[in-house]
Amino acid sequence: MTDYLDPIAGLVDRKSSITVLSGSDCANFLNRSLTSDISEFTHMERHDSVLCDANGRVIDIASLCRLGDKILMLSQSQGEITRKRLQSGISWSEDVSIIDGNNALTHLTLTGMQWQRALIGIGLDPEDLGDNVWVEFGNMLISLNRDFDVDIIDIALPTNEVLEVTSALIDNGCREMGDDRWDYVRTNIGLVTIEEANGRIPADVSLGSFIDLNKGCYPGQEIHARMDSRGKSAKHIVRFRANRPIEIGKHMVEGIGRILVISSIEYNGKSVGFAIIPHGVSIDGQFEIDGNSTLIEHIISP
Amino acid sequence: MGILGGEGFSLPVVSETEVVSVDIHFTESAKSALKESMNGDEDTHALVISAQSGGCSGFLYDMKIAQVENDDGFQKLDIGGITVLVHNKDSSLLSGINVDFKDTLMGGGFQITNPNADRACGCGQSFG
Repeated sequence: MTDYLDPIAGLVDRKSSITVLSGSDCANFLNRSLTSDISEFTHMERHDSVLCDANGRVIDIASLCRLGDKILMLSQSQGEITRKRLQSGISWSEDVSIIDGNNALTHLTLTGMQWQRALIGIGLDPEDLGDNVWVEFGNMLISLNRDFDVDIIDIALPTNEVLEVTSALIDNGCREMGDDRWDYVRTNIGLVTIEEANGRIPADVSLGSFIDLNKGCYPGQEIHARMDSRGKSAKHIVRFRANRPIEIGKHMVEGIGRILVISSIEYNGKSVGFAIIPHGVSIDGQFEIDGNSTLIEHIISP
Repeated sequence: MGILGGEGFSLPVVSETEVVSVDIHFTESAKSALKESMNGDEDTHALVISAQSGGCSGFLYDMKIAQVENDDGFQKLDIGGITVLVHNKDSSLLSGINVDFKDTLMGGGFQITNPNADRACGCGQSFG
């Protein structure tokens, strides 16, 4: 069901926090802080990962690109928190520099119908975009994410070229999305961001695939390993659709039990959001939440 | 030019670090194990104790015997005739630690207890 999409692709500035790690030790250094393993991270590879605190709770979500002896990190937590946290963990003997790229680079996302047309219009053949890689096109890095029902194309580019590239994409059949439209679209796609994941256990918010319990220690690993050894997480994230907005917070729902609504987006009279519900309950059919007839659906875990 | 060749990048991030005067306590068993590990290289080598990101709790201890050519930025301690170096950036994390040595087959070796840590990992190598 993709009736939430416009007939043409949408383009949004993700306002990501952009960091460049350089130096011969940067991959080993960053690997110590991520929940997944980048010890074999190769040039132009794409790797998505999570940073957690010592309690195993998400503090940031990052998309990485290896560029020779540098790593470009597009992360979602705002401010300097992640950069300062990383900086404080560089050992005296490590060759690592952490550089703020927020003013130099911008992260755009293109998604929805006919995205191929927009890229072809600027001279890029969509067939050149492989899985889990970044492709260099001019001064841009472009990556196709096929983890969801709807393709998501991430573009990193110099900030001083954003106007020109945006205009070219719009001329070739896409339109800009505001933040509210983007939140509506990504929630329908099932893309969980730091807005929902912050402070939560990754597996509870469909980020469990970003955890590698075989890589060794990382902040939060002890908690994740203990949860894993005691069986699957007790709860998971779902998407709901309703005709009216549902208040964020806890709700008792007949047939499910207690659910926690963690986001609620209203757009053009339609309401969609994410909720966390217990594992093992059937979510077939409509449920009443706050007197609102609500459809609850599983989302795809990347 | 490439994506990283343009303008607008900031200088490397510098985080302000609190520098304190380092005080480390070694138990007698830790001193004798350290002396044994130095293997007569006390005049040319030092024990460097540091903290780096990682581990289950956020930071990992690291101890290495090294020949440090340039000890700028390090604080130097004399532990029974052996030079122990702690970098200024790690001083607030490591000052006050107690270094012990347990001579057991399982879970033995140097052990650190850290009064600055809010939490420690089960393996004892990580703190936060």
